[in-house]
Amino acid sequence: MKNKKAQLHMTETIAVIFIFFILVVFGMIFYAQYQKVAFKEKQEEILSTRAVQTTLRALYLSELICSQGEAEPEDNCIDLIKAEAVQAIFQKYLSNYYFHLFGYGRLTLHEVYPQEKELVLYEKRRVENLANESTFMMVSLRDDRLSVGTEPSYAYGYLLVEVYS
Amino acid sequence: MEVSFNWIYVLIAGAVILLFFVGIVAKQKIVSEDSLGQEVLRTMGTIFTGAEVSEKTKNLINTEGLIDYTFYFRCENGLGEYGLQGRGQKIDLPITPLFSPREVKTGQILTWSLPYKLPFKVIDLLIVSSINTKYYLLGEGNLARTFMDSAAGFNLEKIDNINQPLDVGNNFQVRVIDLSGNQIQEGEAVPPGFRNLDPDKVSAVVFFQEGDLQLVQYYEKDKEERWHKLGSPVALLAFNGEKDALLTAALFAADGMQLQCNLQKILRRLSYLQEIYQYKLEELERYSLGLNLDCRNAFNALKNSWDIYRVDSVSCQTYLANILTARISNPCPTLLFSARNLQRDNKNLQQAGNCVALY
Repeated sequence: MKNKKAQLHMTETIAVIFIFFILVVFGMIFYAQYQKVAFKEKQEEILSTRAVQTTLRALYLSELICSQGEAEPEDNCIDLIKAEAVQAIFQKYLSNYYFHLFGYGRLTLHEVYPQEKELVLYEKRRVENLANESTFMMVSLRDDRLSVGTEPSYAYGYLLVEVYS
Repeated sequence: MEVSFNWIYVLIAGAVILLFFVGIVAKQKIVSEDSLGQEVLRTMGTIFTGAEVSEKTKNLINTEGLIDYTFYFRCENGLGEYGLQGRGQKIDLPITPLFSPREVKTGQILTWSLPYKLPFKVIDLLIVSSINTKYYLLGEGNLARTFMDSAAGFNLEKIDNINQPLDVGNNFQVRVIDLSGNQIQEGEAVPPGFRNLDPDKVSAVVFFQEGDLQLVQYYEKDKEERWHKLGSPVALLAFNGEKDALLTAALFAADGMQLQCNLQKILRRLSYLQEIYQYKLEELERYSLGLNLDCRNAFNALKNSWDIYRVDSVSCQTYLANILTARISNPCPTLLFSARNLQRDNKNLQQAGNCVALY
């Protein structure tokens, strides 16, 4: 009788521990799921921050800005002659320099007026891009080759900055 | 007998369960410390990017939440990094020339971005300091006045001489900026007020000129409470005289090594920009063929200055890359002359009539 009672207690204890571990496993699964979602959200947040950083960097890049001699450079303006050269330079020094500036992403200059043109300034893709974030910035495009006298010639367009995770 | 067996069983099981949870807590602690560190560095990165693009602007950033962290800044052989002291986490800075004390531990960080031109804009120099880094300025004249005005907002105090009583208060570190060029001398005693601070928390920078050449020499306090030279004087590529961004930045740099390292970064960027301007020059050359004679003459003069300027910048870059083994005299000051000629010819081109300037 005593033995049976002890066995019953033993089974009870094992059952309690079993249920306890089941609950722990449930908790861990729930926590892992939560972490997965939180990680994804964090990734998205980092990607958005990177998109803003890359856009800012691109807009103020010495390689692209419209300089005016000793005066302050023009705001939101891209020098088209420099932009043409930049394509090759970014590619040439991509891995050891410009990748540190823009990371995985793509910078495309779109002219919308007077003509419609597209110029890919920078591009670095992963084998598989998981997500991307795009930012647009309206810019004026100065082409000194088309200047009339000292008056510069401008086109209008936008800079599309895409960053890949 | 049965009862004691059950107790042992319960004790073992309890210990295993306890260990299991202790393990999880310890692991979580490491993970969250790591991710907090990463988060802190990411935040700093965002702050620096914002500061970099807000040209000529000083930003006072509240970092009360980071007051327990000591940030370190390092730059060697053209590659910079910053991170959290005592932890493995760091961020590489291969591009941005960052001028700062070696360490910063503060609730308020100061950033200041200045565009560096040689003669066209090359890159923004980023100065990082803290509200608890005290700067004492020595010297009179235009340079001191310009610096005092432009660096307003920093924890800066003008003093008449280094022997006057100085109280460092609760500041984390002090830097003496000697623009007179003669008040800080090797082997001289540091002011008594600086003696409570660790040697690496007391530094000085002395600015002086040799002919047209502007140089800076860094000092640090040694164990005998005396000024001790850190390396040799560094020549500045200060194109715009006393208002030059590099001159200002050099006064905030930790030491000559950081300054040289940032110079390497600047010249590297300059070489890439030169390739871009070379293309622009060739495009404009084609365009200038159809222009008037004055324009073409001005353009040809600019082209000659450009060629010399490119050669000089290559010499300077090579010298800086091999500075430890270089046995030739510093060719970088020549680059300043050719940059001035290029600037002059670019101005002439702008003023010659219907011509388009290079930059």
